Amino acid sequence: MGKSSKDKRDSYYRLAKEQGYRARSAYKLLQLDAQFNLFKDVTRVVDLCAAPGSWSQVLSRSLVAKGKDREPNVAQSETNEVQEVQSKPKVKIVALDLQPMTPLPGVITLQADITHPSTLPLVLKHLESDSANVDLVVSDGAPDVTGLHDLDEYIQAQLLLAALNLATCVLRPSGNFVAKIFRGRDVAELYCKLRIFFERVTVAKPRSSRGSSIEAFVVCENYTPPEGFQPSLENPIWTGPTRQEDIAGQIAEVSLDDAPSGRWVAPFVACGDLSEWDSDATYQLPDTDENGVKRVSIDPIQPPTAPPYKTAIEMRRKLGNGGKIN
Amino acid sequence: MKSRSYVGPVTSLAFFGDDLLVGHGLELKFFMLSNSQPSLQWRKRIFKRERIQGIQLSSPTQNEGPASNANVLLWGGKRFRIIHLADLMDPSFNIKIEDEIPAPDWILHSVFLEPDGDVPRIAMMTAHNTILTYRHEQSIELASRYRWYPSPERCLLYSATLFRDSTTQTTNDLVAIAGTVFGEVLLWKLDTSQDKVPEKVELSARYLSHEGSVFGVSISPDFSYAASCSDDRTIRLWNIKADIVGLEGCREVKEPLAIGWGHQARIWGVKFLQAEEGYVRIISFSEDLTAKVWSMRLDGPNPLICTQTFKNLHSASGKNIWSLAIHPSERHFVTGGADGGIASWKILEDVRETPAIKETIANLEEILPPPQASGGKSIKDEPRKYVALGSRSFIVAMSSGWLLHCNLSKPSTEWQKVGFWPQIKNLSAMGAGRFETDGTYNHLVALGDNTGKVLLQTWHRYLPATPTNPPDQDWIQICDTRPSDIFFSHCQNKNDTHSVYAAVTTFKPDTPIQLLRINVETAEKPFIAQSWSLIPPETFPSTAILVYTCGGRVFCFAGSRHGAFALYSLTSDDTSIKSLKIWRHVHDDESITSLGLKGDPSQIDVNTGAASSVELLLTSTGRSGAYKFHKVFINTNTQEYELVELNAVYPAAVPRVENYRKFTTSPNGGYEIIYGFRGRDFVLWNQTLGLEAASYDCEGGNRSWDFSFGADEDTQSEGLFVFTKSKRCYIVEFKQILHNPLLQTPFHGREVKTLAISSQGIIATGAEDTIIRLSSLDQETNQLLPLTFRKTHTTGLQDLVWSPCGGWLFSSGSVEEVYCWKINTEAKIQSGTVGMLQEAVYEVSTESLPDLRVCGLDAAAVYTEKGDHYGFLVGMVRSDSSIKLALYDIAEKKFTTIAEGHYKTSCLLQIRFHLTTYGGILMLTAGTDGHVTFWDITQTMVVCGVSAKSSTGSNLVALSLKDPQVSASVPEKLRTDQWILSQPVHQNSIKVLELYNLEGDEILMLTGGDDTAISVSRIKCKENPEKMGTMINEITTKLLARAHASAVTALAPLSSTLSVVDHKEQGIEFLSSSVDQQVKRWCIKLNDGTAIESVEVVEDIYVSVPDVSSLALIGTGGKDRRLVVGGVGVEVLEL
Repeated sequence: MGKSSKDKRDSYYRLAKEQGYRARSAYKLLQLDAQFNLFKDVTRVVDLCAAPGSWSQVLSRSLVAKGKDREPNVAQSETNEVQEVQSKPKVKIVALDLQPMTPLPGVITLQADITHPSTLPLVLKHLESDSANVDLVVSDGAPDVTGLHDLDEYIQAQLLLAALNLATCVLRPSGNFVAKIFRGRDVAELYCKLRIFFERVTVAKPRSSRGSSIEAFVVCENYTPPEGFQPSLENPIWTGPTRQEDIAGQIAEVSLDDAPSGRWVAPFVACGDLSEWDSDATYQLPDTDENGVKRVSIDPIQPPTAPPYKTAIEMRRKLGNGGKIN
Repeated sequence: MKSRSYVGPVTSLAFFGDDLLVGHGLELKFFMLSNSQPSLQWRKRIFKRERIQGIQLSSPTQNEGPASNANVLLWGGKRFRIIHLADLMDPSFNIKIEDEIPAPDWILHSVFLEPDGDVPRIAMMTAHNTILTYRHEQSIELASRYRWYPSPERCLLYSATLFRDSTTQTTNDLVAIAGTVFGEVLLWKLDTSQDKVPEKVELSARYLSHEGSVFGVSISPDFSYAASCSDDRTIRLWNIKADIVGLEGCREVKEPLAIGWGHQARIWGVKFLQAEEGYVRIISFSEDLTAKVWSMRLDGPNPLICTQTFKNLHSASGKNIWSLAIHPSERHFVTGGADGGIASWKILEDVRETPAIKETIANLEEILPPPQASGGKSIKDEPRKYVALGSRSFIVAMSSGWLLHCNLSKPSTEWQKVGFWPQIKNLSAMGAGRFETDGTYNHLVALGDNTGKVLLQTWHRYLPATPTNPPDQDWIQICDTRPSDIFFSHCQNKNDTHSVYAAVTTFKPDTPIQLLRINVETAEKPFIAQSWSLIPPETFPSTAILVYTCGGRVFCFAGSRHGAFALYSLTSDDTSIKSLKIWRHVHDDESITSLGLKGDPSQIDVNTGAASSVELLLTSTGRSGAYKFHKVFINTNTQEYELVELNAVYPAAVPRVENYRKFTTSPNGGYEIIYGFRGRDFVLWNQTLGLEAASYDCEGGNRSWDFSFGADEDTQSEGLFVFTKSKRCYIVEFKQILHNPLLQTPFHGREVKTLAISSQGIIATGAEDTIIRLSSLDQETNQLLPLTFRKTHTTGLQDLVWSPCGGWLFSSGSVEEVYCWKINTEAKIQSGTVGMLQEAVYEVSTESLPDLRVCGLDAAAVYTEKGDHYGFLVGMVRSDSSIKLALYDIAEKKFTTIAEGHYKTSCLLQIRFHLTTYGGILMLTAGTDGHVTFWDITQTMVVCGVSAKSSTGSNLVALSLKDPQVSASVPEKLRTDQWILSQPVHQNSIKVLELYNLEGDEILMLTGGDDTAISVSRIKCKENPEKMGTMINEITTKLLARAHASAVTALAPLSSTLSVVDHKEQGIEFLSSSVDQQVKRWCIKLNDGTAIESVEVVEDIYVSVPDVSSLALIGTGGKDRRLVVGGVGVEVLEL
């Protein structure tokens, strides 16, 4: 499919290009913020599973450009962002991913595994802090979806719980946590776990997230860990036993799955105004824009990250035979 | 509610001797394969909620059978269980699902360890690269049965396999190989026999270079090599010898021994096969629906070469193979698909083995040495025309005038010169017919020469029955010019077995077809007993004939190059005959390639009594890409001739259909095989199984060729394809055309998006795999029985809706696809199937938007004022917020758009029509903005000539059309001023909307949303006298927030028409389901006024179908009522 037909199919894809975002997912965070006012008084934020970096872009633009007139319709060049950042040195945005990420001005990008114990001191170092004082932890991480639903939902839950473990290590009391969640058969179990740490847990679906997609976002507000809780990446919770003594507790957890209906379900909020674009709708775009200028389809800000099968495709081309290998 | 049957992904397979254990959903199935006919012996539910992801037997079974204390280990997710093999195999032994054992983390793989006396021990590898052991001593507390070992590196895995190291003395040494989500392959060892848990465990090696997640890992039986497969479409082979013996330190390996390229999608698994000394062999399976066998020579740097590819496993409609098991003999393997199919495949031991397809290029110069022409140049002789006589012999006519016969029935090919006739140089016509005498088949070959003469020869099996090279006088003058073609009627009439009919056509346009009745009573001396000149209708170049005798009358059907049928009645008096009737465009405007009679001719002989009227079933194939069944009525008294299309199949796998054959003999009875061409390939397609039977790359069908199935009982599974390529004769022998590799029938290859059940109990399912399937429900086993399927949509299905009568089905997809299907359930077509005709396509607007989805449909019956069935009012809502209303005319088979408009700009998902007793026509729409909008379209419909009226003698309201001649003028506009109510109900997408009729023009509306809520509304309508329409008098809504844990996607009312009074006591029940995989039964209590007293959950159960999209009820009520749940698979529940 050409990029111009994708423009019609996906209004947020087009909008992301026009506004200089690396991915359409930027609007999910923007709409979550519009609903929950997530960025209010936020100066320290950690973005997990950040590549290609659209959430970091949103964070950078929203937090460091605060107070200025923002023109959302004009693509901001990266140099502009640098200048703005320099004027607001106190905001710290740390973005982590295992994949390399093109640097973003005003964002500290680290290539690190969020589950690894050594990541915590690394993050704290870059936050220039020795204690947990992060206001907001966000994670838009998703696995390679295989199509085996139970496995996909398990892996996604593990990504979320890994993010939660890191969040418990870095969040200040009453900080917030936002993460992608798959609303599958065991989603209630995750809601219950999150509620132990946060006063308010809401599941939100931004209008920029397609209705046909299983994804939604948990917005966990006001971090209040249970008394005596010791956050640790050495012995993370709910991600499998890390000691013999963890086994009894983990088994008890598993047994709870049997009564999913009896479990607590987070309240749902659809966010994003009805006047905003509908990610499920097909739009008839006029050939010209509001100024009568012929609309041209622009290139994506950053080509998508190289797919894992890129080399395989090149090999097929090299081997010839019309791409047919027996 | 209780689960009764399930179709869905097959997640695990394991051989038990020659037999097979299958993990299918929550159930374990046992297939006996050692018998001649594979059969399902039993099925037992193992887990409460987990699919069986793995099966292990405690001791590999040898010929002497398993040990008496053998156990079976089954796991899925965070559950497992250990069951005595003897108990499991005992069909009467009841497995309690409550006895499943929870594990502390997700199990990726598990193996038995040496038992501790009688107590079984196992080791398991979790998704966090951690090994735990478990001692199955049920008397002690669960947590204490586990032993945890430290992980060398706690990371998230996609795959892991544990092996008991056979290279060391202690038998509880484990070798673990793991594939991470980040493309690493990790190897480590663990000794689990010691009492003490080591403080630290080191990785032995880390194998890098995969460019994506690693989905499968394995180690060779001699612990020398490891293989991994990945998202990056490669298989990588690693030398692990050094790492297995290496005592400490982790080796980092960045270069694999070899890389296997060739899969075109993600690769899910790899396994090692036994190999000759000096080789390794691997089998892999992938998302591209293939399995591949790979081989590599170990002497130096050699490539990993793919030696065998198994293409189009299962239904070819799916996307994934989830499981594979190799038979202990390693001669075959089985695969389990996302489509629920299980199939068995043969591994070629070596290239010398007789393959299922054998290709030979005939060396004709050896048989006919080229004569030397003057000047030393040889005259090139080349094969011109073929007739295949069964599967083991054929005749070829050479350009020189030689006729050769080839006998393939013996170990070595035998060629025979049949004769030499200079007048058949550049021969233009040859054909063959088959006839039976005394239980054996013979072939009659007719040869045409350049002067219009025809020679007849009979072949008895592989030998000529007529003397070869007969004298010239045996050539009979048939026409005055060179014949273009000779084709036979492939129907031997039971009451006239001595006659074979053949037609001779010429190159001169509009000249009569010479139809010959050839007497074959004496096989050696066939003679032309009678001949007729059939006068062709205008533009009717004939391509196929069929002669049918009944009650002393002889009818001849002819098919033309332009897709037309003509009917002739042959009499003994006239020799020049005009057609009785012609039907044009039967196969669009494309050549008819074959004509046949459906079923055994004996079944048709019931017509013999009433000679004046005949009814028969005709089959035909055409270049249009279809094979079709027609019912033909012939009444010679009234001179009425009628052709009714009953079924049409366009097998996508064979776009150029040449012929169709239904096999009726056991054990493969009922298979419908179609053959023809697809691109470069000659394809044999088994329509019954939905599988390719065989294919051969012949570089396209535009060449001289012939094909025949085997003529006898013992060769009926064979086929012979002969053709010319580059002036050479190619012989392709197919051996196992009727081979059925399937042990379990496949269903949809991807998730079911929509499911609807007709009033006649036919279950229609539409899936992301673009296929519509029709199934029936077996009353006893509760299994879905496949009836037919169509792969006509080019995109995933969005919605399916039946006509109220069950005779028509409307389907919608993306790119504006809306089709109307006529469903013929007439038993006469044949048992176990239904006719499914694509009657009409809704015309697409010229300026089409890409990805414009038609998300919702509704259809209401429309009658003429006389009360005849005119057709339907079809409502369509689309992703660009547009609404189209069209009338579907069942006589004209045509949609006419009568009204259209837009809601807003948001995507619409639902549409429902509702008719009130006073003639109001309501339309409800709902979409992603969470609003339900009520449109009063009474006036608009009146303008279009449609009104809602009670039919005489009943108070049922139906739509009535004033003038059945609907003109395709400019459609009426649907306007927002027709909204009588637009109410926000959900926060975002309304995934489902259902209506109940209550009495007194009251509607009970149920909606389910992405916001996890269900709404129940009572809506009272009343007449709007000013606007001659309808209005909402009162609406009461009760919102059940968090009705499910996830999006509510399906609702099904348990009863249809209701009176408030009747149900005040017992309430009104409905069912709901959601992506959370729960089905809930609810009870609504209504008050006398307008209020809803309560809505309570009555029942709540788990279903094993993820991504539930739809619910529908089947059965009239009471005991035989079943709930069908559609999603990733289909589950049938008893209420």
